Amino acid sequence: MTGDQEVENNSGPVLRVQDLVVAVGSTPAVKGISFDIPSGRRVGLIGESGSGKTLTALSIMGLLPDGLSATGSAIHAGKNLLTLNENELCEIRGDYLTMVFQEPMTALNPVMRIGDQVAEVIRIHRDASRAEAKDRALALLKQVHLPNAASRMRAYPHQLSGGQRQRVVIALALAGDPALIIADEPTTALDVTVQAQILVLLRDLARQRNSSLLLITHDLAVVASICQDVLVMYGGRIIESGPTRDVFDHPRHPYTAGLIAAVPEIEAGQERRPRLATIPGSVPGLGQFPSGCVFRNRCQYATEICGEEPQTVANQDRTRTVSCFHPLHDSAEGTIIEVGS
Amino acid sequence: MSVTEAVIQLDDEDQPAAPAGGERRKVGANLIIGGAIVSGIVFTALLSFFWTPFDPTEVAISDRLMGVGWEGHVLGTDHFGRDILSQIMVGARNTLFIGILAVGIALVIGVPLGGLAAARRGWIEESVMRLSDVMYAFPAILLAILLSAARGPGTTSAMIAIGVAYVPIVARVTRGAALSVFQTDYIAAAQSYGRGRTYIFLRHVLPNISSVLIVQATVLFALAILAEAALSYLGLGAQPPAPSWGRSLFEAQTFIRLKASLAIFPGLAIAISVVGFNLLGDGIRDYLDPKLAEKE
Amino acid sequence: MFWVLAVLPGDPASRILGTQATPENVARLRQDLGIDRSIPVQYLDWVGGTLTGDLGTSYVTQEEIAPLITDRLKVTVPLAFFGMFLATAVAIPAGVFAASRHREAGDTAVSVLSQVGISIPAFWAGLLLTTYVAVKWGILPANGFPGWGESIPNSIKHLILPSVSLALVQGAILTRYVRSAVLQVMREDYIRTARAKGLTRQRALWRHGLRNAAIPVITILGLQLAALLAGTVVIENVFVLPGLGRMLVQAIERRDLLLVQSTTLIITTAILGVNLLVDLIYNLVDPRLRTR
Repeated sequence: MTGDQEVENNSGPVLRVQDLVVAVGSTPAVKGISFDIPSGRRVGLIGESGSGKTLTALSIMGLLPDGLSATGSAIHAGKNLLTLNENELCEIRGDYLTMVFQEPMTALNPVMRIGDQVAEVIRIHRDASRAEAKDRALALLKQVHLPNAASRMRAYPHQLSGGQRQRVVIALALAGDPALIIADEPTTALDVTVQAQILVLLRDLARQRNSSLLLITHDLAVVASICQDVLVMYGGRIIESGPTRDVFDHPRHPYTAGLIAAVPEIEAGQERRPRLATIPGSVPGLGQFPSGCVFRNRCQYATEICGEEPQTVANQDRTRTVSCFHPLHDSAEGTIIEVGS
Repeated sequence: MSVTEAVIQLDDEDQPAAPAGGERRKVGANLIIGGAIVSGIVFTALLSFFWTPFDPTEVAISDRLMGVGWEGHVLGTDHFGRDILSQIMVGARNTLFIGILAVGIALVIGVPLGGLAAARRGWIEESVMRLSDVMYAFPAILLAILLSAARGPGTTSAMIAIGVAYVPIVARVTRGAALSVFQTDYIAAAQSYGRGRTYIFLRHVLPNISSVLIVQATVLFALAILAEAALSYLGLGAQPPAPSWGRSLFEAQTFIRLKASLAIFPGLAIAISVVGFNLLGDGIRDYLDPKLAEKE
Repeated sequence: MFWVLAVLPGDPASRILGTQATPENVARLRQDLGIDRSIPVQYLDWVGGTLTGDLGTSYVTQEEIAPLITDRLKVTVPLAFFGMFLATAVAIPAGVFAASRHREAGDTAVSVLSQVGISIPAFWAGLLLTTYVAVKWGILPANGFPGWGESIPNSIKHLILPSVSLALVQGAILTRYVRSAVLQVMREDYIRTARAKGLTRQRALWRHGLRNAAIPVITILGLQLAALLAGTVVIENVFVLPGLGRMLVQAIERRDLLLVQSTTLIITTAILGVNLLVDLIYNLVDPRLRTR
């Protein structure tokens, strides 16, 4: 996937994932996905639970749980992250490649002061004195708008609210010089009123630093308001991708269309869907997806040919891809080019 | 959080929190080895009623302190000329007897207490748990020593003391497991039919926590063997001439410089039994809750 | 403690007199001992005495109990301390090592060893140690205790084997707890966060894992110390050390009930004291408890 800002932004993608496979035991949970994250772009990775989106993120970070391993490649700054050893990975992790986790309640060490937790990242990656690291940590906590940052430096995580903790986790992610911030459902565990603040904070900080953002979520509205591009994941595959606005207005994969139809209203003023639609059936368990097109057992357009592996095809300017034998809005698009499965 | 609260939490990691239904069960090496050892002990104890190589209490001074394999004494003889193998075989009876009764006492008192605490909550739960907090910190051996002091030493004192000392452990495990069952929907359903708490506990909760209790009982059995051995060694458990492994070790101490094997065999019998029951406990746990075994 | 002894059946007077007990003898002795009074009165008397440091006089030897106990503590306390120290010094590195090599050969080896350690009765280990290390190889003294006044290095030597026997079992149990606590902590989200920050797995364990794992381990340490104190009773008898435990067993053999009562009181107080200490240490380690 290439963004429409590529012309202005000449550097290559900050991350290029190719044929990423993550297997749980003998069952692949991520089935050979490929995508680029262009420098400075905010990309949403959308999917229901069980679609493999978190595993994708963890394999890029090299933080897969014990017993799981990833194959394929994830190229960052010329290095394949999947083949680096722990020490090489640690150079990159926390500095150029950072992550914001879903559960702010458990993501912070309960017995360590938050100031120390933030300062620790700085001292790992920068040759900073204790005092310098502390100053920098304070500045970061101020940047993430942690109220009373100076006194909170000495607080323990349990003394903070969920939203405040997530601000600290974001500060951790910004402590280095991140080229890419991966945020895995960063607001799911938070109160609705706090969610928007945290998302806006993430977006603004990524924009200020010219960092790319990979935002993992199941919430279409979040993607619509934060991300320029979107990747739609289902059953361990990326079934559609493109600029957010374009994909949401003209979904080409029946699953994407179903997702969008299931949301009451994406943007004010759009009243095309009088009734709330649902996708029939439910997400199969791991290893229970059908062969061929993973969505065919729930798809109203499915035919016999869907039993075969669908090709991923792109439109002419290669801004959008879809992996479907019966894509919607076919006539609206230009020539279809095959880009491989 | 009180001190023992945390301990139990840690213990719980080693025990099935909830019965696992429909999980793939696997018979691990633990279960096989532990089962084999425990069956071996039970078989030996039963066999000793009908047959031992020699009369275990027969004193023959001329045959004293014989080495391994002399004149048919497979493991030699002790300072009275008694056959060590026969003594160990009969000692297995004593070990099993005390273990069964001590664990029995712990279960008979501990399960209702724990169940009561889980069913009633409130001040009843609070007082049961505080009481067991106090008891928990109090080692079984000390309790047994006190009891022997008051009642006079003997197998019964040892058994009661060990059993009572394990009541708080059983009560806590029962409460922990029962609480999670009490929170399930089918208990709520049963309550909505107006079933009494006792009925619900016996009919619904107990069967569901039985696997936890079986595992706990096996582990306690191993502890009881150790405690009994220590008490008999101090002269506070089985009284002579009743053969007991711990007692044999005490008697061996005087002659250990002459013949180390005197101390080795009864000690090995104890250690192997404890390993057996521990492995059996682990094996049963793994079998009943494969998910937990994998996590571990 | 008092109540256990007072309420349980068994009359100390007839015990002491044994076969020579006649009703008149028993009654006279009961009066001498003060146990003809009602139980609450006895209790108040005993509590009052205990609080003023007067534990009374032994029924049997007519010795003052309080100095007897302080004397014996000079053996038992160092023994328990050395035992605990050895157990901790072995168990913490072994448990952490096993957890960091989860399911590898090192982990299996530690697990098997600790399983064996748990299954060995401490007094048996003591017997074997005396037989081989002391008697056969003559490296260390087999038993007895010269007394601190006599020779400090020699006294320490006499405590080595007893401490090792105590530590063997306790260390094995502790190792298992440390391993499982560390394994549990390694699965926590904050360890993943630490690794996402750029810490290696090992550094994340040392910097973030250990202090969290310490919380359950400290609890176990408290209980272990209680078990260890009980263990000294047995071990002192194996090594013929003039400690509290040996005195306790001798007192039982002589039916010296007041001495038994006072000794168990001291041990129980020590156990309760340890638990209190554990609660205090808890507060130091876990900031969540401080503000609650």
